[in-house]
Amino acid sequence: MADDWNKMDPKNLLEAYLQLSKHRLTLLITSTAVGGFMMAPAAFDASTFAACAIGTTLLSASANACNHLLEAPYDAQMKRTQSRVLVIHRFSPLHALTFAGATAASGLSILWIGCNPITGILGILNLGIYAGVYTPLKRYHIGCTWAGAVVGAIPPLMGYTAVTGVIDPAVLVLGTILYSWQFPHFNGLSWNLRGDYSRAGYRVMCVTDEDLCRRTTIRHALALIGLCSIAAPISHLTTWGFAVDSLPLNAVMLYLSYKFYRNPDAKTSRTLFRFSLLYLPLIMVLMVISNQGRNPNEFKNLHTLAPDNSVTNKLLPGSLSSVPSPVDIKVRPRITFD
Amino acid sequence: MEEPKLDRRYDWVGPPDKVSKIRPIRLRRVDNETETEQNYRTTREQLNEWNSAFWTIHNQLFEQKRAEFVAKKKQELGRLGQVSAADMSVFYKQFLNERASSLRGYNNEWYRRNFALIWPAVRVNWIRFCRLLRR
Repeated sequence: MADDWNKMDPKNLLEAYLQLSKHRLTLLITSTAVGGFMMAPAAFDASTFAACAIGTTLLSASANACNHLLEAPYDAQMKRTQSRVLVIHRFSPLHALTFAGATAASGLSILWIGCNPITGILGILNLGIYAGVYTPLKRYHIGCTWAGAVVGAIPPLMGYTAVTGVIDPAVLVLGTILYSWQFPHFNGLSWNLRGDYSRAGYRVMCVTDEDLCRRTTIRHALALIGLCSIAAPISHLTTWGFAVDSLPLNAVMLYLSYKFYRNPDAKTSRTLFRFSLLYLPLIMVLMVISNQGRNPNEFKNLHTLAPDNSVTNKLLPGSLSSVPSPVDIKVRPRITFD
Repeated sequence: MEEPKLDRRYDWVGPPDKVSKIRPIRLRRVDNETETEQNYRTTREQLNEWNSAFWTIHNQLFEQKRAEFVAKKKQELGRLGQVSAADMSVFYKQFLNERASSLRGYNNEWYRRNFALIWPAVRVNWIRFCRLLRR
């Protein structure tokens, strides 16, 4: 492929689409949406779950396809991205745009109908911010990282609202945790790519304002502790157990961020970045385990109030399907009965 | 640079340019191609060439400026001095800021010209589709 002229040929179309959708990133995003879904205070509903997961996957695929389209010449400049489908012209930009349009339309429909309009709106809003704000902003302004952090915070909100239909303080805490996580994550990743970013014209913190890069890393590592150990239990996102068992993970994050802050180099940044990849699934698992809404103790309390345990209908207010009689709904409230 | 003999029935993409890293393209054409198709083909190929020309200049400038910076640093550090990553980061920031307005202009034009090609691309695909049906 390197030295010859080749026909523009997608060859394995599925593989090309997977790359266009940045499938690993899409999987991560969908898993944060699923995490948000699991954190919602309600019984598990398989069809809503499926709609949320599939819809989020499709919208994420669309956003990433738009990103490929907008950044093809910049991707060509950097080693990490120089073999992407649109850089090597495996198919035409129109083909990629059609893919983006089709996945966006189907993703939005599935979320709107299978979950509820709020989830759909959040999804398309996220697509708009990623493709319309974050991606172009990388060329012009250091604020792109903050826009990117918002993009990362919205999927859990989507998962949560898919069940509840409302945005409450608990889900905002969840989103903020993911927002703050983005800073140690991206700063760790980008530190080693400064040369590439500079030549390819990315106006990111690690190139244009190193001090800010270091400060935001430690600032948000500290924020994570406050969010997990104070805000999460207070907003009834999780139990107080989470406040305690999240401390080891957050302590490591803080320690690695501090090392990066004091002495930013190839090693500290890489360690921080790799840990951030491990941190995300672990913190989500811990959260789901400590989900106040799913706490079995509270479930037992509720059962004493509603003797009829034969629940045939698991629908909730907020979903577009019909709402059954309150007596039939199996809902575990956020506050404890003690 | 030699023009390789390429089958005009297909779209071709070449190896990346050594300096600009952008791959040249040759789009397919039929013998009786319509004006719409011809305009689209030439516009897209020209866009790619303009793209490559920008990056050629930009990347050459990067290499040149970097070499100058390293030479100057080495002079300051003495014969045994090593230019560190921290030193280079000063250059990276400098270069990015120097080229900021030029990159902005390029990006605006890149977005504008690509966006302007969407509708022609749709029309060309429609023409090709109709041609396929007629066969």
